Amino acid sequence: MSVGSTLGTWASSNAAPTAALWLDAKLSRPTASAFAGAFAGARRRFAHPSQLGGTEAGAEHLSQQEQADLEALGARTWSPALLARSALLLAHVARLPPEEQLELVTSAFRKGDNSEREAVLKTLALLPNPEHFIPLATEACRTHVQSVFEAVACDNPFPARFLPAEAFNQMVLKAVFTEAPLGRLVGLSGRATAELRRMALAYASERRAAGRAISDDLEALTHVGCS
Amino acid sequence: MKLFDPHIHMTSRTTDDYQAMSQAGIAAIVEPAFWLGQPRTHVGSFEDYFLSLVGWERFRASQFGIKHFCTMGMNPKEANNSALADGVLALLPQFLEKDGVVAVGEIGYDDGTEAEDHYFRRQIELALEADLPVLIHTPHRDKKRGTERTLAVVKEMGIEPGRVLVDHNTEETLPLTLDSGCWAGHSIYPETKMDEARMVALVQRYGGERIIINSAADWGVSDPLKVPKTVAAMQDAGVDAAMVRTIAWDNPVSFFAQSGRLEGIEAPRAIDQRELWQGNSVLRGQVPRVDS
Repeated sequence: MSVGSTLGTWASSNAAPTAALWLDAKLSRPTASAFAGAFAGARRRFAHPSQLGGTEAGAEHLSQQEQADLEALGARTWSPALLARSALLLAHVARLPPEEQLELVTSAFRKGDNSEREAVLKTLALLPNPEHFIPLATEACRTHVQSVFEAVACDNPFPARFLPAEAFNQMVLKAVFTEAPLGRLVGLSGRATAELRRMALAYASERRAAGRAISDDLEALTHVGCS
Repeated sequence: MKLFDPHIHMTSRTTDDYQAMSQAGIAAIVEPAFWLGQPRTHVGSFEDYFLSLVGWERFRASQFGIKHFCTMGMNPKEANNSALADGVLALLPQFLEKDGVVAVGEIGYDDGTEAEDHYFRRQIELALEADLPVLIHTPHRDKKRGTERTLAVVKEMGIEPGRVLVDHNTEETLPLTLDSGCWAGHSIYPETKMDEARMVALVQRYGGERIIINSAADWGVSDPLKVPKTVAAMQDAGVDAAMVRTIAWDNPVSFFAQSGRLEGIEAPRAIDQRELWQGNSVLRGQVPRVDS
């Protein structure tokens, strides 16, 4: 069982029977033309969770990396709608040759509303050939919509694992600007560099010059990676 | 009292407006897809605009505690460019699937040309296929004739009048609209078209059933507070409190709830203005408002 079908099972076990049946049909016969409509419409169908707790079952069959990523993503706490969308994206990508996968994922992001975009970003690390999605993740960091930004920056192993230094540093700085909790950035200490600390110090200096307070997170960032 | 402005083009409004609307009690809005003041020349321009309605604009409204819904459609002002209009109609099925899209609209006549008629009818068909209600713009020139033609098309196309909101009514068109069984929207403006005093008179004459009010605030001279101002005018004139509430909240909710997409409309919405990037945000040095 793949990570996508695992997420699909978790989605269905917390949903009304009609929603579970609908998802099952979409996952077992994924067609390109049906993807956009299914991805958009998934949230309404899964809007009313019956109860949380159906995610206790089955992740042991997945690889260590996949299990760790689902843990970092907090996937067991995802809404049924988010689980369903992620499962749909994984199922559709899996049936495509690598050269078409990028187009599907990019299209799902660009043509998505805010919550569809969040679903795409939270799924990036779980996709095959994830390094292909570096430009997309970088583009996503430019969003003004905070929930979309946090979908890539927080509780997401993708940036620390794949983003080059310049993009990663800009994302961290924006997290501090926007008061996204620094503790939710995955793998930050492993990507700490003198340059990132310099940027944090410069921002702290700017705030001090403006007579503005320096948050605990910004203070912590000026020391990140130092023992 | 919670207020609903079911026809307002927030893309053209500043955060000052959002702040004032929020303070005046507006809790929900519908932003219909429309033109941007001058004709678009690429299908992609429509696509990016549609994406902004369910993206940035929806988020921007949420920062002020306002639930933002929208309609999607090919508006009559740009329908005479057939090459473009065909491209836009091809986009609509995917956008009509999005959450928070509560009707096909604004559609209808502007000049009343054959092309406008064609895209009006095709979009009613799309609404029937997508199981969504319809928001209709009536022309501001030759309005009575335009409204008569509009109502005839609604009847011909077989869509239930209860799923049709005919907007921008006047003293002359309101009785026609009500007789057809459609809902009747009224756009209240500062200087032109309908105003508060005349709206009060219409309510006193026709009651509140299927009556809806909005500001239709957009790029031109218009006022995003016309719904609360009209509510105040009705109250001052002694209109029954229950009827005021029906017009300003229950009616737009009932109409757009027919889409099945008006989720969360009754829940109070917590505002968290910290959800912003302060270097480039909707706040400029103000204290963020956080509702716990």
